[in-house]
Amino acid sequence: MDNNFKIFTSFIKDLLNYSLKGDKIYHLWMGLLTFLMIGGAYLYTKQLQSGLAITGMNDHVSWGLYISNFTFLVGLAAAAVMLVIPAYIFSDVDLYKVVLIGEGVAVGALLMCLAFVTVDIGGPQRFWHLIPGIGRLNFPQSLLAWDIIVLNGYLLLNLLIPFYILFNKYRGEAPNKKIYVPLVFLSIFWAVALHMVTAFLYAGLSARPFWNNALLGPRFLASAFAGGPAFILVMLGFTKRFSNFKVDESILDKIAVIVTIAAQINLVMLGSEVFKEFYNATHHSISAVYLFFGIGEKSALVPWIWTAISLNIIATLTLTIHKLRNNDFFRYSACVLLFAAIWIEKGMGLVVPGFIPSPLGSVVEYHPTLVEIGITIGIWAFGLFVITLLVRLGFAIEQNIIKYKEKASS
Amino acid sequence: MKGLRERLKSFLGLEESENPSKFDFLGRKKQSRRGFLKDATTTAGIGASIMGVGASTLIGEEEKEKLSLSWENYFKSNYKYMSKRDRKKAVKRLERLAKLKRDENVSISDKDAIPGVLFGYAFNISKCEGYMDCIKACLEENNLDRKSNMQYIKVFEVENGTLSVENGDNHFFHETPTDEHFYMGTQCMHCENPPCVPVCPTEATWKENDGIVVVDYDWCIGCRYCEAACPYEARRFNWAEPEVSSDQLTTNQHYLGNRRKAKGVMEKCTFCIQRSREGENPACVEACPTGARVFGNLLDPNSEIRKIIETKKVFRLKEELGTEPKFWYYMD
Amino acid sequence: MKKIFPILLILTAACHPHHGSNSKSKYKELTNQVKNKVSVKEVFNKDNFVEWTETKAQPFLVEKVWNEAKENGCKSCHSGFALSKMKGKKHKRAHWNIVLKHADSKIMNCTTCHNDDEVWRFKVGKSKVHANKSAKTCMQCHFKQANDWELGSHGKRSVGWQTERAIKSCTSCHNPHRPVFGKRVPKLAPYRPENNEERL
Repeated sequence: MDNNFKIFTSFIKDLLNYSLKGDKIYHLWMGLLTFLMIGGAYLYTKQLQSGLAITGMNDHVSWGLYISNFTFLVGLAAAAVMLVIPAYIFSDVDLYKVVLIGEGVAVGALLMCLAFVTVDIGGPQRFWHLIPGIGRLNFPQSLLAWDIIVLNGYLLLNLLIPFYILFNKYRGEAPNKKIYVPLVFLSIFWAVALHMVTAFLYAGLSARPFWNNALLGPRFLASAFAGGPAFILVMLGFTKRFSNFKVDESILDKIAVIVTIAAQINLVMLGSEVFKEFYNATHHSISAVYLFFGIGEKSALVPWIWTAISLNIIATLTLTIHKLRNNDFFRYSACVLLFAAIWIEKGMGLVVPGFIPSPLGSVVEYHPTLVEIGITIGIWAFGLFVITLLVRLGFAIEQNIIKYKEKASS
Repeated sequence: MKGLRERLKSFLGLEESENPSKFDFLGRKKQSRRGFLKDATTTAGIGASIMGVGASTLIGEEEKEKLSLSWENYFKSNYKYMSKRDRKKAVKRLERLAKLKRDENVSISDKDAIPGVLFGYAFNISKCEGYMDCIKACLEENNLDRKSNMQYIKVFEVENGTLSVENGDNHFFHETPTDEHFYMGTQCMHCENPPCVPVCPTEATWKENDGIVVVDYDWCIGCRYCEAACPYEARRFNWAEPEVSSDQLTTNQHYLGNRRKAKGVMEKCTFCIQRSREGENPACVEACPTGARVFGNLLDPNSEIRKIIETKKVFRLKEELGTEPKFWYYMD
Repeated sequence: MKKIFPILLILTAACHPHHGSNSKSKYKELTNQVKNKVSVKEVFNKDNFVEWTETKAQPFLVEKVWNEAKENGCKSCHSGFALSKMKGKKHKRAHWNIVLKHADSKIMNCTTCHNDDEVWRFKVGKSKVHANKSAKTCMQCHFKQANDWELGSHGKRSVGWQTERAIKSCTSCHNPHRPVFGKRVPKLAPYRPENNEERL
């Protein structure tokens, strides 16, 4: 019996080998993503040179595209692991199959989150100031400190669990349920905590009435559990259609139900927020007025938010109707629409209006620059690259395509 | 070379102990986390110096010194937790770097808060005429970025009929005062319960003992969470490298005050900490031609600021947020 | 306490007690706890100030606004001549550049404030005061501003906050013939954080 270290090195070698092989579509896709990543990296060097002045952010709207995407992706990461719940409730599906897909998406999304935060801060070379022991982490006072701990802990969990499961599968041994099931449950609670902490980041600021409400945390969770599984569903659809991997239909059905319920709850919460802001509008509601109707001539976000809401409603309705939800075309298109809608309303529809108007009444709009958009696309490409890689490898190991072959001793 | 010898000594623990408890029961020097970092950077500094000596044919003496000082400067800790000695070293290093980089002779103070002092500020909205002498003086005193015209103070032109500064306009540029308007200025309110302080992930901003909320510019990572948390728009971020020409630079500086900053860090009004800790008034108070600004020690019962709070009808902005700003507004 | 407060908040949902705190009493309490009194610096150029003891509160210093040169300037024309004798076509036009814009011409003229014989002294009731104490003249009408001036909410300090109280006199800031500050163009253009192009 070869020792673990030998198996591990062989594991890495096999993974690398498999990643480099694939059909034309795979290579084209990865090539496109690499190109976008390199472009993003180049633009980031430009940003490092001239400072954040090259973005569209200013002292009034001090968080823009980067943090919008960060917020949305934390939700994606948190939701990915929520797939575990149906696997547990409808226990006819093998637990670890679904877990793998979720973990792969989660790792990709988390790496994207970390990348977005890195490009957003003004002094990335001083990141070591955050490490407790060497620097000073302001825990438990600062919610950003909480977020850093929770994010990195979640990343660790999401790397350990699939590694454990896949490594054992690779070796031809069954993973021990007593080890990974508690970790999986920990990651479910951690996922909820992760997204609530991110929501508290915003909800705790008394200076920003648009965010300072109790519903922000639950709203984040609802939109995450609608958008995240929608993404995974589309991804699984692609996998089923374009690859040899076997994907159980029952998994897809159950995920679709989760997406539907979460989307419905999300709409109810949206209704609640809209009522509170507009029934008796106070000066705390000016941000919502800006978002939905614009203030004077400043209405850059109005078309975005109405698009988001319409897409949201259309998608939710489509998914609610059983016949449509079980039809492949309607199901996947609804998921794409829902994902886009939630990206808009949770990203720029949440972060930017919080800054408009400013605490002393200035209405200054935010327009991202090309550099900002380029870097954002680069980071998304990086995330999709990682997700493609991990999910593909996960499937390959899980379906025994990559297996450890003991070398015959001479 | 003297500096190198000193550094070697401290690294090997051969310097005299100021505090006997620095040594454990076996007489070995106790290594704190900060001590470890200090030694590590000293080693790194020595390494860099050795490298520098080796490369002396390629770079000059000044460049070597600049590199070694910048290296040490990068690894220093949060000013709030530095010892008095480390603070002294830090300011000396920065003064030397200013001389090497731009041939500027600055004096950077590390003066601590005067005991028994809590600074307060009062603004008379009957007297402000919107002349903006305060903004100009502040800009010059605090070495603010000229390129983006960064200003700590905002003066609002508010139409009569409301006291709410949100209804005002701080982008006016015409002869003042105009009829049917009054003027009021805002800047950092130096809250007693500042919402910007607990949110900083690296503790780069804190409230000093004399009530001034300060930023350690070299510790700030530029996440701008404090800017989102401030209800008074007090914080300014250096989106680009700040530009101040050497002849316009104010050379009496404080580590936490008006020294030069890098791009990507946060800054704000510090009640002119380099002046107020020497017993002088902030630049805005000095500059106002109508006497609309009053500054003093809240703990001195005879100070003007105390008398104003006790006799005049004062109010503060956004009191409902519970931030307890130390910046009062009053009228004649 | 501050460090575990957020945890307590989450656990107990305690309410933050910040409403209704009285600024005055809080600082009084703090003052009583202060052990070291802050040292008061001396004014380094005491010759530029006069002592003002005519107050119920602590005496303070007031910036001088007059000097020998100015007085000699007045004396060079006004010595020995009654004002009434200085009018008429024989005499040169004087002080033509001083236009009195101080209340109404029916209420005020030159001799409302300036003493009739010694024009470099100022009237307070039936007596006269030196120019350095001319604040007393202003106070006769402007008693409200005078109270504020003695309190500290009107006027300005000539020195820093830590120095003993030395404040400016009325005419240090106000031109007595034209006391209203008037319109001015602001010293510089406002800060526009949204102008991104300018900052690169």
